[in-house]
Amino acid sequence: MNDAASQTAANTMKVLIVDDSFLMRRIIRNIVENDPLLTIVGEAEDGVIALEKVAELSPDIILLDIEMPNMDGIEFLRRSRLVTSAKIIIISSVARLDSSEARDALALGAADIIPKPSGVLSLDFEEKKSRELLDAIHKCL
Amino acid sequence: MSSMLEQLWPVFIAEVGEKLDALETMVTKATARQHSADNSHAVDALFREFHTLKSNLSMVDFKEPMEIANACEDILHGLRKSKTAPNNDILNALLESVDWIKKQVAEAAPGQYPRTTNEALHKKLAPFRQQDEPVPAEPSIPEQPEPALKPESQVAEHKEALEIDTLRINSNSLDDLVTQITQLILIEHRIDSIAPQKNLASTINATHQALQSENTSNSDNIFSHVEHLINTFSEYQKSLSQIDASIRTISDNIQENMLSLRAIPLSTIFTRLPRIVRQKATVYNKPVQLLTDGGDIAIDKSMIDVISEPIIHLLHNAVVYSLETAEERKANNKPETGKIHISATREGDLIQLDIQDDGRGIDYRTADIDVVRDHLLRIGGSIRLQSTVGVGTQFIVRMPITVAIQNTLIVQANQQSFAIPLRQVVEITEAAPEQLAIENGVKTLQLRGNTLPIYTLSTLLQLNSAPTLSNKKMLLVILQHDKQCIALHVDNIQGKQDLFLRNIHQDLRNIPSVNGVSLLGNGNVIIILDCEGLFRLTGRHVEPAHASF
Repeated sequence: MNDAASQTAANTMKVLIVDDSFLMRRIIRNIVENDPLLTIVGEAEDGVIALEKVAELSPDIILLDIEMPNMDGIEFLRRSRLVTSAKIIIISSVARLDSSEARDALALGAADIIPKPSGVLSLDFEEKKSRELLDAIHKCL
Repeated sequence: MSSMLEQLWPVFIAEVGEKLDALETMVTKATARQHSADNSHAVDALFREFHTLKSNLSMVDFKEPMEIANACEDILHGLRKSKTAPNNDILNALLESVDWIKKQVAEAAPGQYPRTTNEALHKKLAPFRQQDEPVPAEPSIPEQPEPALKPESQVAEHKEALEIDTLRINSNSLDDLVTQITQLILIEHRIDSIAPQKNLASTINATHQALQSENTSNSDNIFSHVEHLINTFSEYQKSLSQIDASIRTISDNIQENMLSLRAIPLSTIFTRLPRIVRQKATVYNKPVQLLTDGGDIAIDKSMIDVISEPIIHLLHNAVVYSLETAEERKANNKPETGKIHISATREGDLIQLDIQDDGRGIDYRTADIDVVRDHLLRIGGSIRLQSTVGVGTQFIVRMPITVAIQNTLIVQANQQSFAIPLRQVVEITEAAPEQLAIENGVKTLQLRGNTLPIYTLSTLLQLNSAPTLSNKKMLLVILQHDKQCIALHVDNIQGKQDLFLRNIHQDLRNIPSVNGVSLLGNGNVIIILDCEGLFRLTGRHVEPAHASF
């Protein structure tokens, strides 16, 4: 699958959000929706569902959490490499991500590891934090 | 512009609440089967829940609870790496953390968080936090039992804890609902489209003109016009009745769907009970294990409050009166930990709850179930007690699957109480005789420029009442129905009350102005009036003006 073919008619990139927290998915959705270059095509709450959605939606970008039930992010990375050429960006609490896990993730082809936007839901920092997350995503593209 | 924080706050509250409930259940379960071999799944799951909890708290920048959740996550991360099961001290510290976070979250509003720190809890968690090091196996100083609280205050606290204001809804049911609403919108278009197509107006006009034109010689012409008109009308009728049928089908489906959306599994209540039992067990120093069955039975959301009250009371009874202390049980050759088993079954429109313990049994007189019995009686349920000395107690509670609750105003007429649905009451006012007027032989009240007819409740209901004294102020309840208002004269007002509607016999249902019956707290039957019926009675009943003047 080449990049041009996988893009939608409006020439935006298709994004799949993978996170077991509904709140996290809503936050990421709210932020990413503001980016004219990105279109969210689906969400998944664990690695198993994410694999199904990858086959169904052929996303260009996958925003991936690490800690999830059923199939975690590392295992998803390992399996998804065979079925998609999407850019996989890990959004995770970096503090928790042991350096060995981070190494694994990058070795398995993750484009980058971005910290979860802590404090994004606040009256003062909403815009700044949202901007930071979008910038970090754009750096990987 | 509403901020993302405000917009997503309910999601935050719902998810964090869910995580905290799940954690509580998991920790309690882990405590119960601490000595079993395989705990690695439990540790994994606990770790993940704390992890999500922490990251959600961090999203909204709720620092203190986040620190605590982070410490718990660290502890579990360590356990996960060293493949160790958490000991009792750790589990207690985790449970205390969950409780504390719960309290903090309950007090929070978007962006405004209590600035409490909990040094004691941090200290308690700290020793377990070192990573990659085996956790100390020997138990430290045992935790002091919580000071004994009054049972009443505990029940009140738990009632609050059982409230549910967010529901998790199956996405399929929601999709169905959206489909059905879409069908309704399509029908709206169909109604729009028949009018211009069939040209009813022009047909009527043509017929009208044909009839008007003076040369009636052309009767054929008129006949064909009328025939055309009749055809058009019958086509209209056909389309409309088709649409009517579709609307009815769809609205039936929607109604059914809505009801199923409100249905939640009993497990919603059950998951919150272990904590209540644990607290009581600690206070009364009786080791207890709680088992539940039938958590998949669905009940209406409104029943949560109704059903949880008797359950909590009976659990209290079981722990306090029936179960023995560990020493007493040992002496009687029973396992040290007492068992309480709640199982729910459904029979038609009734739910049966069996609450069984293996304690010493309770005497009916000490059982203290009057409150529960009264409560159940009011909603049309019942309770039975089977107790065998030395073997245990079984409470059998039966109650209807749904209960309609009516907010009412209780009034008195002719020394009898009646309930009026509150939503039809506009206001309550007092009127002196000089404020009243007589119009067309009917007493009226002037209220802010409106003239309202006055009817006396006891006269409307044909109760034999003594004529009202004319020199006294009248107590008037202003009722509204269909944009019409009347002033209802009553003898006394006793206040507001929420009543559980009870089924009434078919024959009673036909009495005008009777909406239903209910039982008051004292066991007396009260009639709930129906405003529509009262208004209809006023139509037949012109109150003679001299009766009270």
